[in-house]
Amino acid sequence: MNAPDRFELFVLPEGSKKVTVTKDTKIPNASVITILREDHTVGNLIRMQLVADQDVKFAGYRMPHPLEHNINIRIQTYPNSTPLKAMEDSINLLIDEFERINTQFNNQVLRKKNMTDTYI
Amino acid sequence: MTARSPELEILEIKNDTITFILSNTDISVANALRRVMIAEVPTMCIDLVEFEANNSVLCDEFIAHRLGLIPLISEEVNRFNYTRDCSCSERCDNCSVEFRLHVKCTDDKARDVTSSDLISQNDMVIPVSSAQSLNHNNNTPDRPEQEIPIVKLRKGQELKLKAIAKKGVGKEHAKWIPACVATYQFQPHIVINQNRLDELSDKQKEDWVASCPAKVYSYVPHQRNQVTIEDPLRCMYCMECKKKADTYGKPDLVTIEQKTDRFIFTVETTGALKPEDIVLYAIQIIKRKLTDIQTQLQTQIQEG
Repeated sequence: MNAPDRFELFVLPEGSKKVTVTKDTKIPNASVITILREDHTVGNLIRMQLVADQDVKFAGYRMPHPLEHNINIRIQTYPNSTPLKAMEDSINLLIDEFERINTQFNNQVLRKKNMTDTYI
Repeated sequence: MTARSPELEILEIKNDTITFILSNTDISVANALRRVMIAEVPTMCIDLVEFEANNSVLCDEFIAHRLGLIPLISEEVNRFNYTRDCSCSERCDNCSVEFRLHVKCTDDKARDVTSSDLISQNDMVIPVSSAQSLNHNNNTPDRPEQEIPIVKLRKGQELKLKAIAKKGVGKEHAKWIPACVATYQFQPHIVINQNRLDELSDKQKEDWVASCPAKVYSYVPHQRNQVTIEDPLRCMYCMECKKKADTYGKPDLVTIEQKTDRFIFTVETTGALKPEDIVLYAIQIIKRKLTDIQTQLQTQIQEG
């Protein structure tokens, strides 16, 4: 009866923004980036990429509530960078990486298909 | 920082499975790929059922649930819209496929209602089992019938319904999951200490090889290299061979390690999509997610 709608998992509520950035008032170079309607798939992916960045002092993500499908990514950087720059860099690197996986996968599938064609 | 350059090698593509190795990347990438293959690759599934007649032994809800779980060929899923995004008011041919089922039992024998009694409005979206029997002739001929039973009818019982299939993702309901297996494992690295092996008697070697439930090793007596590793990928790290070696007092007979930077993926499809398509769509979906976040982030920055 009071079950939440199933589409709440991935449909962005009307009028809300997918990404919001809140600066930390107490710590320099720190921000919390809230992404609506995403989960551990993206959260862990971005977090691991941020942690690999030399300019990032701290990066972590959490899902504040299991029934609200949003994640918070908290980033603190060294003074030579900003959290937003680190976030942008990480996402760009990840897009690059998946682009490479995509082309490699396509090539491999083509090669496999050609191979089976010639053997039959 | 530069992007990693991941490497991908496909080991095998079969009708319903694909295995490939993804290496030189982070485990979070492998896990994201796995999670998206399960939860976010869209397929078509029966979502709404209208009953016109049902005096079978199963209640309406029970049958509706069973119909939902029947995998439908979804190769054309990209041509469909999600019903909630579609421009139509309720539903249309661009966001749904209608199925009809009408079976009445008139014989004294019980009549099986199966997935092949579902008549689709659209030839591209039909139950996987029906498609398999269509190319039954050029496939393996001795394959048993693959139809999915829904309910049994006795004489006089009738089932008449209209079912509507919609596009959806596994996040919403498990029936939309295109993969029945989507896993990755680390590459096992198994090394047998040949000196220790030579100290064993033939009987001990045989017992040791037999101790592995996954049959990783093979033993051929009267050959120079008697114990060989047949297929390291079968290893499931149960360490039974280690325990056996311990009973011989030779704990260093074998070492088993996991290479944590090589991920061996196994993806098996329900039949809704081709296995290679599941992987490909998953990669594209993650890319789309990331670009989406990127553009949203940039508009946020510009607004201050």
